[in-house]
Amino acid sequence: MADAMELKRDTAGESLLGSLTRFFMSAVGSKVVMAATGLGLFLFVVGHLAGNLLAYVGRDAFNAYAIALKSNAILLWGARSALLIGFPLHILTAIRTVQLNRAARPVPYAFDNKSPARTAAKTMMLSGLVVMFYFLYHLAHFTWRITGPQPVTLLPDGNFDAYSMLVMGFQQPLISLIYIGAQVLLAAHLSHGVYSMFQHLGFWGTKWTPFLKKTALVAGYGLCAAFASIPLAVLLGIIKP
Amino acid sequence: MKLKLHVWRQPNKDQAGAMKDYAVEGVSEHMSFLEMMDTLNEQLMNKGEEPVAFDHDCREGICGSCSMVINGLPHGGHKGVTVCQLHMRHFKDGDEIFIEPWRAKAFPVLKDLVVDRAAFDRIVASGGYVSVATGGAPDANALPIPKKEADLSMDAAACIGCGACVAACKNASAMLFTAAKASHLNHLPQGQPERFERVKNMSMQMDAEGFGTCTNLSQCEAVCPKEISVRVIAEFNADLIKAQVKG
Repeated sequence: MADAMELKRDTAGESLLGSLTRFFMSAVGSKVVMAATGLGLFLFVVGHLAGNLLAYVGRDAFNAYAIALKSNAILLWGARSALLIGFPLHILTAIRTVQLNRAARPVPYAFDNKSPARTAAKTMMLSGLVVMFYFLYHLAHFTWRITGPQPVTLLPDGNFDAYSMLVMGFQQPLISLIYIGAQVLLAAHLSHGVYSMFQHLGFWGTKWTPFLKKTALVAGYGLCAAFASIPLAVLLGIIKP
Repeated sequence: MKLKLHVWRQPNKDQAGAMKDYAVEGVSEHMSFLEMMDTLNEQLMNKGEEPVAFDHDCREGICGSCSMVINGLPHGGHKGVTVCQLHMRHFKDGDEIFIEPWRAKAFPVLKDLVVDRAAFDRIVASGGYVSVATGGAPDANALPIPKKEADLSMDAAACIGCGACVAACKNASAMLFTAAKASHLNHLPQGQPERFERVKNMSMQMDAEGFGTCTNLSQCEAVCPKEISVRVIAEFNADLIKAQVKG
């Protein structure tokens, strides 16, 4: 009798790989994937900002950073793997969970759902989509160099003049506007994501959670304000050609 | 007072439903929302029309039967109350009120405002219990449990299984319910031996029922008539992650 009632899992005895695959495909597991890749991408953004701010120091510091990043395999592939693994997983999981979520409510409410939630949190898919397109444009501009004004001459040592590329790009008000606009949406995305990833990974505390919510707001909007300050500084002539 | 109601009418599970307009008269501000619905039904029956079917039982906020989304908010959206505890004094003469059932694939509408919440029962049956015989009520403090743990368990145990969390969630996720039903056991010594099997089973059943995924909007917490915190969801996630490591 007691044996028959014992709580047993149907999947007991399945392989490690099978059990992990099952977990990562589950509702909670896919959110663990979102959180872990989100954390990786967030750390990438923090590192990226640290490099960008060198533009305030001057041409030589910024170009030295650009060259150091390209020549240091660990740094370069660390950053690239955060993107190459993080981005596809983050995006594919987002698409899958959105499909699950839509299927979970086939008949919509006649009266709008008024249950309170932050708008930035409700529109993660939209802000994420815009950030994704912005990311592709940004790669086309600075990494693949197929769009935007590009310096015609290389540096004396044969490297690309990243500093001039940045200044020439941001002197175009339209390009600056695209960058600043994308930062606002990235800020909104992070203002929920930075809190949400801790919740998905199971961290919760009476003092810790409200602190994380505030941290997400400050980190999200703070980081993006710092990013957006660079095109503004170029337009205002603070960062000079 | 006189009210204009828009109520979801659906003859049965298989036929399509629609919002229908009704005018209800003679509503007193001392009535509960369910008494207002009773008044509407009396008026409908006097006219020879089919009354609106809705779930109700204890009418004191503890059974979890009543389930209406009122103007976009499950249970009407007042802090810590169910529909039966919602008073008509919150409305005024001439108000328009939209009344809909819980909307989720896992909660099919049976008739009008009545939905089938058996999906919740199946989640509990998959792991929301302890399989040891616990006997009769033990002597107080025979099994010492720290006050803090007992409180966390009791807060989760307040869940009445009404389903407002699912109804409120943008994604129709059942995480608050499922996690509450695991949390109230997982904070007690009796719940420990099966802790990880429990969360794995309940999570699998929750997915199989077709609920959505959690995006941490905390809409569930905001509308929960028992004010259960999303703390239970984080605990559930943490236990599921630990369960992977423990095999």
